[in-house]
Amino acid sequence: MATELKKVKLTSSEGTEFIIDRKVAEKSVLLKNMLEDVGESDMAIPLPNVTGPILNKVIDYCTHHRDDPFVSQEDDSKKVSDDIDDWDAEFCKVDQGTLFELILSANYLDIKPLLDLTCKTVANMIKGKTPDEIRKTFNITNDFTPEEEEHVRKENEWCEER
Amino acid sequence: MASSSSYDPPITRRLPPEVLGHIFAHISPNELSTLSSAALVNRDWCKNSVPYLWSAPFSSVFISENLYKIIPIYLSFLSTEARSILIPNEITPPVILQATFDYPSMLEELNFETLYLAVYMWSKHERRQKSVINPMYRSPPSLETLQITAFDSENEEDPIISNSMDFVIYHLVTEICKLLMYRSHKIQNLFFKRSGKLRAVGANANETQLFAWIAVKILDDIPKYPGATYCLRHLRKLIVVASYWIGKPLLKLSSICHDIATLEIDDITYRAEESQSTTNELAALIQNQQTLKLIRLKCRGKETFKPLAHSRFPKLKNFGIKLTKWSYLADRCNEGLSIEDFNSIIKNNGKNLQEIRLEVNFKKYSTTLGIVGEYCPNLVDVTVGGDFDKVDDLVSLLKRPLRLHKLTIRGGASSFNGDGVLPPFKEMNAMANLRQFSIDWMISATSMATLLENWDAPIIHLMFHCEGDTDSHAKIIQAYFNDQKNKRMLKDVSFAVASDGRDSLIGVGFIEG
Repeated sequence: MATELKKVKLTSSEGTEFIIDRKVAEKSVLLKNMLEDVGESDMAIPLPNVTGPILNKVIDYCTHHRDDPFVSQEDDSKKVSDDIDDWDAEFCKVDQGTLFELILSANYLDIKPLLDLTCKTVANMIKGKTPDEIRKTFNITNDFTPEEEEHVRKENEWCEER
Repeated sequence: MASSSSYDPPITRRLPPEVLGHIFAHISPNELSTLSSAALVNRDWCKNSVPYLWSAPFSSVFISENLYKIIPIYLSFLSTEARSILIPNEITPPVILQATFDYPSMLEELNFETLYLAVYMWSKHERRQKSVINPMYRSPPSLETLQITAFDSENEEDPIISNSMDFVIYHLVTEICKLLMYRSHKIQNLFFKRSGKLRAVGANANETQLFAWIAVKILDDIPKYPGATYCLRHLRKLIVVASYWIGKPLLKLSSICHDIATLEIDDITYRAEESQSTTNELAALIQNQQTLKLIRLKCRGKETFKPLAHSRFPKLKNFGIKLTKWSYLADRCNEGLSIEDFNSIIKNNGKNLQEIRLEVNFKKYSTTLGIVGEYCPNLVDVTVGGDFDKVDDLVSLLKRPLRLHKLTIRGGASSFNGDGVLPPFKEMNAMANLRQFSIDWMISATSMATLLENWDAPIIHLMFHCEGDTDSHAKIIQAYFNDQKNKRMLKDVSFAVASDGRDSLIGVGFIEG
C-alpha cells in the first residue's frame, strides 16, 4: 500500500516534467525495473524517446488501467483484434502519427497491453484492404521491383479467396 | 497537459520490424487474405508479415479454393529424389523457382487434415490438368508392387492404397510432413482431427478412409522424422481425434514434449485389448507435462481415467468431463470410472481449478458436487449438466462462498421443470458475482420473479427456457431491470426470444453504463 502513494518524476524528450503515481509508472516494465534498480530517489527519469504529448497519452492510459492485472509476455493466447473495449477504442481515436508514436512508446516503455491495443487498432485498419489501399492508408511507397512483386504474389496465391 | 492534437509527428516514420510483426500477430489465421495483402505492400511489410502468413497456413476455418497452390511451394523445398515420384505418375513436377523465403521453417501450427486436403486438392487439380494416371498403375498387380515399396509399416493390416493417385497423395503428405518437421523451428500446435473437410470437397468413402489410414500412419511416424525432436519440443497444444488410434505416438511424444498446455484426445481406446497400454501411455504423456492447463478426453474405454485419478497437476485450471447417457459407450465409461476415481481427480487437482465442466449422470456421481464445493475454492466458471435425482448437492455447491463469474446449468432430461427447484438467487453466495448465467430448465414467470428478487449480482447475460407465452417473463425482467438500474448504473436491457412454438429460449442482456 505504501508504494501506491509514492510519486515518480518523468521527463519527456523536450524536458517537460510529469509527476505520476508510482503504481501508474509501474505499468511500464522499463520504468518498473528502473525504479527497482534505483530504489528511493527524487531524480526525474529521462525518457528521450517519448515526446510530451505522447507521454501524456501514455499516462492517461496507464492511469485508466492502473488496477488491471499484469499481463505477461507469454500470455498471448488471445491475440484477436476485435475485443477492444469502449474506453480503449475512444483512446485510440487519434491521428495516424499519434497512433504510431504511441506504438513506439509502448514498445520502448514495455507496456504490453498498450502495445497490444495500438497494434490491434492498426491491424483493424489493415483488415480487408488490398495492398494498394494499405499503401494509401499509411502513405507507404512500394519498393518492390515488378518481378519481386509478382514472385511474392505467386508464392502467396494459395490464400487468395478467388 | 498539452493536447495530443497539437503534435504532428512524421507519419512516414518507420515502425521497427518487431513492431510491424506485433501488428501482424493481431490478424487472425482466418484473415489470411489480409496478411497476403500486407505481404505485397513493400519489402519491409513483406518480410515481417510472411512469417505470420506461413505460421499457420492450414488453420483458417475458411478453406480457400486456391489452397492447393501452397503445395508447389512446399515441393520446391523437397529433394529431387523426393519429387521424382511424381514423374512416373505423370505429374510434371512444377517449375521450381527458388522461394523468396524459407517458408517451411515458419510453420508453428500443423492441422494435418487441412494439409492433407491441400495435397488432395492439388492432386485432383493436376489430374484434371494432365490425366495423370499412368496405365502401368491401373492394373492391380503393379499396385501391389507400389505398396510393398512404399510402406515399411509393422502394421499387418492391408494398406488401402488402391491407385497411383492414392500413392502420390500418401507420398506427398509424408514428404511434406518430413520437410516441415525438419525445417520448422517450433511447432506449437499439432492437430490430427477429422472434421469432414474432405467430404465437403467431394471425396468419396474410399478417399476419406485413405485419409484416416494415412493420418494414423503419419501420426505414428511424425515423432521419428528428422528434426521432430527439436521442433515438437515446443508443442503447446495437441489435439487428436482418430478412430484407429493406438497409444504408441503418445509415448513417443511424451519423451519429446514437456510444455503441452492443452491436450485433447478422442477415441484413444477404440480397441479393448489396447486399452490398458494406451491408458499407461496417456498417463506418461500427461505426467511429463509441466504446464498443462487443459485436458479434454473423450472416454471410450474402461481404464482411461485411472491414471488421472491418482495424478496431481498443480497448474491445472480447467477440467471438463462428459459422460452422457446418449453416448453409445456411456455404460462402459460409467462402469470404468468409479465414483472414487472421479472424486479423486477433483480432490487432487481442485485447488487451482478455475473452470469445471461436469456433464455426467449425477444420479451415479451423487457425491461429486459436494467434493467440488469442498476442494475447488477458486472456481469462476462452472458448467453442470446431466441427470439429477435431486438438486440438493447443486444448491449446496452454489451456497458456498465461491466467486463465480459464469454458471451454466444444462438440462439432462429435456424440458426439465425448474420451478421451485432452486432457492432465490440472493441466497446463493456463489451467484453473488455472476456475470453470465445460462440454465436449460423451464422456469415460469412467477418462479423467475422469486429467483431474481433482490439479486444484486453484476449479471450482464442471462439465458433460460420457458413454455408458451413470454410476455409475462418480459415484464418480470423489465421489473428486475428497473430495480437494478440505479444500483448498478445500468443503461438498458435487451430481451430476445427464440421459440419453437412450445419451448422458448429467452436471452437477456443488461447493458452497463
